[in-house]
Amino acid sequence: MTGERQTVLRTDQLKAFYVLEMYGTQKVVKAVNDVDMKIYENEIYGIAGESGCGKTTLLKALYNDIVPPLRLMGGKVYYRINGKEEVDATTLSPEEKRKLRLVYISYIPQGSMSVLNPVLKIKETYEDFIASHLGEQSREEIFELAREKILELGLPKNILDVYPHQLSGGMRQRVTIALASLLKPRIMIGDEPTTALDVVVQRGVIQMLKTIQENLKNTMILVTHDMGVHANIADRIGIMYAGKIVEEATTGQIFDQPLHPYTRFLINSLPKFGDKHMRESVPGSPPSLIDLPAGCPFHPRCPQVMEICRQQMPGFSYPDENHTVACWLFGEGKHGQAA
Amino acid sequence: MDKLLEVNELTKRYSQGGLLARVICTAVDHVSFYIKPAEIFTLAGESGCGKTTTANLILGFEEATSGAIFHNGNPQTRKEKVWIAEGVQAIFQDPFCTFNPLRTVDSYFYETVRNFRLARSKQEAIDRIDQKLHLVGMTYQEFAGKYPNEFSGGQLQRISIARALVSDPKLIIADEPVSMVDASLRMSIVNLFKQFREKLGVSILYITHDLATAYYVSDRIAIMFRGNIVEMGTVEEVLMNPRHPYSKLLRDSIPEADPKKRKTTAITLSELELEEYLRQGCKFAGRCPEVTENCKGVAPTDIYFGDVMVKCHKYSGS
Repeated sequence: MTGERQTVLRTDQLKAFYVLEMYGTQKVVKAVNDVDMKIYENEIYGIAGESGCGKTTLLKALYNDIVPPLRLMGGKVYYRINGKEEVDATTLSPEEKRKLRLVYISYIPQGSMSVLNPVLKIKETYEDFIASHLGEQSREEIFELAREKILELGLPKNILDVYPHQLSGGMRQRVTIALASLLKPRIMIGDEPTTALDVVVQRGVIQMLKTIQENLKNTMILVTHDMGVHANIADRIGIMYAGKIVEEATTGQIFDQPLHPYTRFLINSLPKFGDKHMRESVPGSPPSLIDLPAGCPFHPRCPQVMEICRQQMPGFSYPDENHTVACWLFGEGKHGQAA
Repeated sequence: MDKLLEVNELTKRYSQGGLLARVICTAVDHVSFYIKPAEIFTLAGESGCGKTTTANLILGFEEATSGAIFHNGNPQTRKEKVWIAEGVQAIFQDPFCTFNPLRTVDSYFYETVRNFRLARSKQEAIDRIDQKLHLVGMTYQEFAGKYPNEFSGGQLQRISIARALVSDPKLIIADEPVSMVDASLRMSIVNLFKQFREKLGVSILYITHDLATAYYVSDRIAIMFRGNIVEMGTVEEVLMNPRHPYSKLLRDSIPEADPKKRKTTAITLSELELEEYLRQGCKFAGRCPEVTENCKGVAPTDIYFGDVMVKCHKYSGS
């Protein structure tokens, strides 16, 4: 995890806001507010945070799918395609973006139960998605490719000939993940891929994601609010709070020595087997992204709040090489200060 | 021993299809358990194992095919729903679906007060509601006259719990109360249950697939699989030392929040749900790593290890 590793995706002070006009007044939802992140080749990067903290919006921005009312307010997203020079993704044309999707970067959306077209057989959905990326190939060749992938991932082989409603939720989820990995993308983005599944199926899906990553040696960015899932799959974790990444470190560091007070709450509130002690949840409720508190957005809920927290957002401090935290307790930091 | 609620050989069958191709699915199959006063009892299992059907039967939303439900020793009959008289209350999974979006939230509280004839005047009703809201960390002022969309999911779930408390129930049936709530707010809800058991002496039937919170909060647990209770006992026994192969699988599948305990072994996922329901013999035989010929033909019986009940052929020899 040193600086020598090549980044595959990088953002620079990324800001993506929802701009809403309501009854003549403008409301700005600061969903992604000054995010700097570096994601390397061959790693699983987890993003954790409460609902409504901007996780999904951040993924949309990384996927370069910024459509109104979401607007890019500043900053850049860089892709490194095939190890060449970095490309500023925000300047790509729609056609260039379309060509990159599924081949370079693919997206497993939230509630992927509804991704599959209910009136088409699974194989027709597959054809729909990938035909234009493969050029001059016949339908049969596409089906053959899909069949190979399905078998490789241990799904039943007749699955391509059924309609989505004949499959259980866990099976549909796995079919969607198989589709996203079909063209061997370098980056796969998953938005809550295991939420709404029960524990046994969830474990199966995690297992499948890991297999894909090991086979393709690509990068996965996974969003979920379930810290248990992160502990099981992620190499590095970014903790998101109110549109900002407030702490980033390797999975071991996040669980063993969380620094930011919010991360500490998140980790300490997790129930553990063999330990029935009272666990405290995070006090208060998350701030509205329309009307963020001044200074550090966590200060109204923070037990260690100081005067400076109410006035100014801290920059990033680096307690060690792989650990980044934005909190006044660890110094003033540099870069990424935002109002 | 005092039994607040006792369920005896409860069975519910659904039939699918027409006259010729009828499939009968036993969603709840001879389920028996009891809940003591001031106890949290967990019913755990994966989706489609009959947890919610059991709750619906106890709440009287559905009629059982056979079996009996006793509340404080009194049987529940078709005409006399004991749970109404005793004030059993329910909390549901999705707080956004619990409340009608076109009705104010407080109207549900007034309705409960009226149904149980709990207050003589409006002020008395408000005092009662305010007192219950305090228990979940809210006040009457911050919720009066508001519609469900003005609250967050976590707040609504807490309101839903306060509503269940209005009639001072002895038993609350909570069907997946935390599965739609954020991980960080989950603990605040579960902590409420602990408080109610200790301070108000309320019993809770906690239905969930989240074994980590089940371990944290409950006293006894029953693991359900395809309509059967396959293992039942204290949480320490069942979750720390699972005996039934399905309980082991379930226990092993929980993603523990500890990077040192990553899963390394592979598992097989279920085939069709209905197929497992229709299976003769042990319903888990299709996926069980320790399956024998006997399992496929004969249904296992209950075997007791002290307080723990296990339904598995593995132990029938001993």
